[in-house]
Amino acid sequence: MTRILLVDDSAEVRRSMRAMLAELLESVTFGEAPDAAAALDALTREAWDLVLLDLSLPDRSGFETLRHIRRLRPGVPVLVMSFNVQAEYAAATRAAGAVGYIAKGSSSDAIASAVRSALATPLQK
Amino acid sequence: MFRVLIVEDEGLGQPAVDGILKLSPETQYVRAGSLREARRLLEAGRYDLVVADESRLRRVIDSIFTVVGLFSLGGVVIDVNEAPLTASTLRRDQVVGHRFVDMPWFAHSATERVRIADAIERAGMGQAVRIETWIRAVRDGRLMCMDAAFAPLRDQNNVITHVIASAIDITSRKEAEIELAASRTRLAEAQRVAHIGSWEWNIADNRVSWSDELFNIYGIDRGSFVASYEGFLSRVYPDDVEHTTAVIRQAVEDVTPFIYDHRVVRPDGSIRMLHTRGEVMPDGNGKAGRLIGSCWDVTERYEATDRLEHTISTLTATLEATADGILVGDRGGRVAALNKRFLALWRLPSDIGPGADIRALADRVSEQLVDPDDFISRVGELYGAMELERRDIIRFKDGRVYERYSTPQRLPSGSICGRVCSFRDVTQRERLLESVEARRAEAETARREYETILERVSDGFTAMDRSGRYTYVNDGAARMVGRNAADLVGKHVWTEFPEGREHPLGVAITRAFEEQRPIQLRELYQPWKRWFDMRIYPSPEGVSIFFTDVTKQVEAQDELRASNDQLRALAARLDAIREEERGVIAREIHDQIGQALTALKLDVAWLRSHLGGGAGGGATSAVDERAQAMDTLVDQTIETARRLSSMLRPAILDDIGLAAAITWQAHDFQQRTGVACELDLPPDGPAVPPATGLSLFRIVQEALTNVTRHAHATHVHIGLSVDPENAVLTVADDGRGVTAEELERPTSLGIIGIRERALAVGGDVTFAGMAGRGTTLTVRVPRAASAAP
Repeated sequence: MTRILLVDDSAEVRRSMRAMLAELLESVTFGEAPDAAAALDALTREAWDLVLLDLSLPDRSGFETLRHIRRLRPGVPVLVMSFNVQAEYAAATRAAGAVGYIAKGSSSDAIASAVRSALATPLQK
Repeated sequence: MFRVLIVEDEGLGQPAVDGILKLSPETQYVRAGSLREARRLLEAGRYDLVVADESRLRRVIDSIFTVVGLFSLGGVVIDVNEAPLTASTLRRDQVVGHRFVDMPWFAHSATERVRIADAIERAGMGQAVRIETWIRAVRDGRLMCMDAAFAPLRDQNNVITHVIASAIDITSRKEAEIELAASRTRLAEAQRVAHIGSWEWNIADNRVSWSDELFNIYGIDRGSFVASYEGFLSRVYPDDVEHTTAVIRQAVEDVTPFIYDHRVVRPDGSIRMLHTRGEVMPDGNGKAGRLIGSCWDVTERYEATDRLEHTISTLTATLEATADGILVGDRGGRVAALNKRFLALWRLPSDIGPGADIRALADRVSEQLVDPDDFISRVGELYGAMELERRDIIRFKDGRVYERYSTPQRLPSGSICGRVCSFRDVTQRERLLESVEARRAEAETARREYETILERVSDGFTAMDRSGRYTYVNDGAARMVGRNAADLVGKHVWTEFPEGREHPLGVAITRAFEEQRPIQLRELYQPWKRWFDMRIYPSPEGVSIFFTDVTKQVEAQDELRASNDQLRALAARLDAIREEERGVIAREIHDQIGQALTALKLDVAWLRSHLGGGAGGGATSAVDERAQAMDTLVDQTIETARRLSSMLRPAILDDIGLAAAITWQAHDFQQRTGVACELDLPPDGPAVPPATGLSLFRIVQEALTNVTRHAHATHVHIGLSVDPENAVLTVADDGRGVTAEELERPTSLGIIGIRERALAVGGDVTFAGMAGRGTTLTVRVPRAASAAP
């Protein structure tokens, strides 16, 4: 089973994302966190195969949370999502340790492909 | 000596004359060739006897004033001429036939009668007798002194037959002699008083006698004086001995009067100059018998003369040495003195000198002048009113111009003794003046206009000379310093305003003059609590100062600045609020709408994927079409939301940083406009406060907007660099170049916005535009957060 932690403050986004990914990926289970604190808590308590992280969080900045997760769980890949489409985001999040960046509002296939690619990226544990 | 006048003409034969000539060997004969001459001789001299033909003699002797009488040896009057009768009003018969001594003339004195009788008796015995006798005038009883001569008259046989007498009135002389005696006494007294001494030297026995006063003059007493010629010489100053002896020797030889000066040495060693007048009295042989003379001390006069001569020679030398023509006239309008230059300038011959008539000279030279009549009338005026003092110009036809200065000549007492005129050649000066005059008139007109303007302007204008004395103060200046313009002119600035000397305004005045460069400044003059704008223009002659009281202006500016600052703060605050609101809205779009759209997009996709499963009916196809339209609409809405959000507040700026935001903005710009964007940014972006980062980003946006709107550029270079204190942003394009006028234009809102944004974060902005070479904007902002001004 592949365990994916969805970190987004919007329940609607988490729900639609989970539904979409559940149909496009096989044997996957989801955890959800509405903010950075909950995300870090979940990462501390359980093991995850991927973190889908929204940059806009209500309690901490996305980049900060990303770096924190990378320090906390260096073996867990983090795929960053954001409503912004600028190429600079991809570069900046990669520089901060993300395995990829996907703009929210992209097609389901593009998202699923990005998730698969992220899960396939080997990371030093 | 017996004097006989012989009236000799055809009436008296030579033999008779010869006879008469034998009368006496000691007789002096004088001949008269005519009656007229005889009368003249009788009037002029004294004769003891007149010999002539009787009738002629009668006429002669009757017509003379000398009393002539013929007496018998017994003293009875035989004949008289008319003179005594006329004088006494006695008739001839009252005299002739009477004894002479019984005449009324001798009635007053028995003594005189005896003397007359004696004289007649002695003459009767052959003696020539001469006496002075006092007679009483019959007419008025006055005593008269007569000089009377009695002589014997002989016949052919040399026998005495009569006594002839003649007499003349010497009363006046006698009275003079009496007076003389009295005056001799007075003379001695006068000598004493006047310090005139007299002396006598008897050559034969070398005896010298001095008056008392002379001893005083020599400073010696009688006892110590060796009364001889040598004794005198021993008192003479050694250098003058030779001259003294020479003068006296010459006088003795020639038997002539002499005058000379010599010095003497007094016993106390003092030297006095004496003036001596001497006479040589001949002895019986016509040789010098004795010398008499007077002598007085002229030391003071000599010294004065010495000084006078020195003064005169100095004056003469000065007169000739001066470059001016000099004419000195006396009160009568005659030349008293003149110099050669005077003659030369008037082209007058050198023989004109003292005594020449000045008015005549004026007439003579007037034709040389441009206006002869005026000259003549002015000369007349000067010599008509001696007290006039005049300075005037005399123009010659040949172009020469002289200045005449004429002033009264005054004696030390103040009285006017003449007039001195000096004539100075001012031709060069006049020519210069004429050429200058025209310019001066122009300059004067300009100056008046200028002054009028200066008076009208409310600005203060003052001019000072080198020493800081006011030479001009206009009304505005006077008003501003609260003084009267006329009172300030001629006064020294630091004596009038001592408190200003050390003040920056005063220091500036001094410095402008010393360094000879204009200085402009605005200062608060503390003593008056007024602000002044001052412009100081130095020249080698002094300084000109324009100044204006700008207190109100400064106050207004201060108020304006305060108000501007408030306005700017307000604008910055408004901008900050706007940015904040935009940020809030952008986040709202991002977080609420963006999230909703994200979910919507995913749900539409889910719907579509579940609709397609095997049904394939027309209705399904229509639902799928509608779902696809929804998906497209969602995509468009997402795009709109992203654009709106970025426009309001690009999240990239907050999420990643300034460099990333600029990079994105530049790429976007390049894509939209086709203008190539080159970037030179620090990889991690400068660490600046968020407000500063936002300002710089907005400035980049504004700059790029300006480039598209105005620059017509093909390339833009955006640079961002940091130094320890500042972040420096440059935006350079290769367009037409912004102009200075555009930069100052109040409608250049983009530029104003850039400035204001930079200012709000404590930065500054420069625009450099070169026509055809582009515009470079440089913004320098502090890296540390700055308090808004």
